[in-house]
Amino acid sequence: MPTFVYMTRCDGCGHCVDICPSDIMHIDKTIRRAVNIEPNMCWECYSCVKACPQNAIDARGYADFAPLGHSVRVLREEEKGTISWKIKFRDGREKNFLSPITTQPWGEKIPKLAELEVPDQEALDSQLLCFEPDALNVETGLPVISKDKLKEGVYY
Amino acid sequence: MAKRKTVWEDCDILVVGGGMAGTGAAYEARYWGRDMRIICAEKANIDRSGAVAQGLYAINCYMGMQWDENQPEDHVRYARNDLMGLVREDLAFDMARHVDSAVHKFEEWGLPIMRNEETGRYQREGKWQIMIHVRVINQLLLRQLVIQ
Repeated sequence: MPTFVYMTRCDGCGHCVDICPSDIMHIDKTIRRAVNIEPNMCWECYSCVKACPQNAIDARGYADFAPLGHSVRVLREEEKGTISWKIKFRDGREKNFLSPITTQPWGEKIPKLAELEVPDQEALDSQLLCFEPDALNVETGLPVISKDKLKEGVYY
Repeated sequence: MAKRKTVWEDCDILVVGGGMAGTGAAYEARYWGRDMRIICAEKANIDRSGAVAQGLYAINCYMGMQWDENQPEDHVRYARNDLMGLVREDLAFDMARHVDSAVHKFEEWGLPIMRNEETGRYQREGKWQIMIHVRVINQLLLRQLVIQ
């Protein structure tokens, strides 16, 4: 079920227009609010729901997790490394879910490549990718296959 | 149609697309070519770049060689069967033998991967998939690429 916009909350900032993968969130030129111009093309990817600074966009979830008349809210907080979902059912019940989006401070653990040692010619000529073979966690190193093993048993 | 402006850029390596594969390729390229000029070109907003808008709650392929769960040969056999023999097996093998190290690095960098409480291994949902929490791995990579 597609997204829709609460007209009283939307301030026409256009974040949803920018982020929508289907390019179907548009700003209406007359009322200057965001609208989903093509609801049947909506993927329910929640990109716009998460991006909206005013929390003005809602999506009706599929009936398999919540029957009609509910509301699904989502809050993505990179500094805390969490995403929280709140589902309000039409009978008033609420369900809250909290999941991690990262276990480390955002992006800090990725090595700055400029600070690492430059790989030598031997490493460049090898078949290894970056941080291999250590990152494979196997003692035998990068697996290799002999040519005659390929296409083995295609013709069952 | 809005007016388009053309910007000419010169580079050694051009990566087309800033999804999971593109950001990974750009990072890999920078690892091996520190003095290269690398451009990762992405048409969309990077907060949702990639084919599946904001990704999936799974990594669809993980060998688990460290626990002897699957070996790259097993994956080749699976891909060959699935595609009725019409598969570049050398490429399938190469992809399979490198995927584990990438997953291990993602976990080290902050990707929340669910673990099986009994075995301590990554939680499987099928033979190849493992379950993760985050949907936007390439954002982790992208933010980093921007400052490199």
